[in-house]
Amino acid sequence: MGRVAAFGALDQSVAAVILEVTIRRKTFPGTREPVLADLAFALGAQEIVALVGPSGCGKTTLLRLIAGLDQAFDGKIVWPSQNAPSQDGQAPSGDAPPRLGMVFQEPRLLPWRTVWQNLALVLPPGQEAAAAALLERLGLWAERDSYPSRISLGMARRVAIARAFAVAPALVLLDEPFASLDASNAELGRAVLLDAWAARPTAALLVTHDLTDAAALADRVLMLAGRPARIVADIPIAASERRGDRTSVAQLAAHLRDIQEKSVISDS
Amino acid sequence: MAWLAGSRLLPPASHVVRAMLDLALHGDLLVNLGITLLRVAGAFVLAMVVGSAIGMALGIWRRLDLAFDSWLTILLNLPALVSIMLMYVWFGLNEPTAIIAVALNKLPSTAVTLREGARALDRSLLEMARCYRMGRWAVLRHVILPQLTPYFFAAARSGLAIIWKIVLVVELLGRSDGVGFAIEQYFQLFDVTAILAYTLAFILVVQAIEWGGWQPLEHWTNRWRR
Repeated sequence: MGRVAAFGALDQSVAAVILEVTIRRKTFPGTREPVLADLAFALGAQEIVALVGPSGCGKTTLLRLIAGLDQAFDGKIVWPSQNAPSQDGQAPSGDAPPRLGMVFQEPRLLPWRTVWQNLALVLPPGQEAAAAALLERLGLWAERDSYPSRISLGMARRVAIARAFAVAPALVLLDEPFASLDASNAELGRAVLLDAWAARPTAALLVTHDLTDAAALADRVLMLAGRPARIVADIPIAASERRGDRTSVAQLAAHLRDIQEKSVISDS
Repeated sequence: MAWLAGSRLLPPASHVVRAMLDLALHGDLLVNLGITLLRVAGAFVLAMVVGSAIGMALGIWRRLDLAFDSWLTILLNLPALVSIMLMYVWFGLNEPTAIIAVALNKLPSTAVTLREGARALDRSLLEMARCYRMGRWAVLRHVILPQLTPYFFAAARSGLAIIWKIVLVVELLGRSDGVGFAIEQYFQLFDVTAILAYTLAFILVVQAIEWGGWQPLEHWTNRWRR
């Protein structure tokens, strides 16, 4: 999968590119086989891209590279400067990453701070009112003074999603945000995510092994497979099929599953 | 041992309590206790602040730990008597020296305890803080220190006990007031009742600090736990 093809798949209505990822090689210390190799894609402003692939294929690793949590790799993460937001008054500059919202596999809330404090501590100046409105909208306002240990896991995950969108990010990275939730809580989580996104449209990169997540949320689906992992399919979702009702999501998920099975077969 | 019972070398508790009240009302007990408590407080704050800072730094920066680990072991195993005498000889028989000498005896164990805490910091929360670009000060205050609270309390509790014992030695060796000085005088007179009265007074103070200080404070810092 070359870079040109990746750019070609960008939706026409989303012309501005906010992120270009080029990974030539990512190897963990002490191992010989790279986890990721020859992988490139771009992300448009306000585009929701799902990155799907089997567990352990390197999706989380890729997300960590983009988040800047792991800088030991051969390749480039570029944030085209013209689109870096300057909400905090800073001039956008070259390769400096814009503000990111991150939703980890676990909520990663500070257990000794309340729900509201967890948000307030990471907010850029002047975002308090918008953050409060977001909590209200996501049905979390009543729990604003609760400590994370006193709310359910599903709710803690929703707080983590609220936190990611509350910081007025240019890009939200989500790492299996609905893993270990039952089906109805996962559906609620997806609804919350879309709601947060509607309140605060940003680019989002969603890592998931669940094709239902991808079908319910994404504008575009990137399929990762192989060892080292590469992008084996780049599937734009037609505007009419995006974020449909439960039946159309199920159909789309089935369609994606077909593509995944074929691409894995042709890859091996 | 039977000869001890009832003799003035092993006075009954009622005598000790009466002596304590008597010394408090008519003697120097309160003055000496106050002076000793001030020294305890000074040495305690010094040992906790400096020891915690050193311990956290050692726990967070591996290379620093390698460089200073043997120094910590030396300090940890230096007899209190030796360090106190060396401090007095080098820096004179004065108040700051006395307080620093006491603090020096508590500092290494505080550092070791806090180092363990800093080594056990939750990396996932530090990553979260990094993703969300929390400032250094905010990370320290909201991410790191709350995780170190149990270690801090452990160091504080054992610290107060150690410091109070060592302050008496420091007072005995080089001060002319305080509980240690008073006890030495009663020792010359073999006045066990007065010695026990002083001891009891201090234990009451420490217990009051435990009930009125540590326990409410600990309860408050643990309010987020289930």
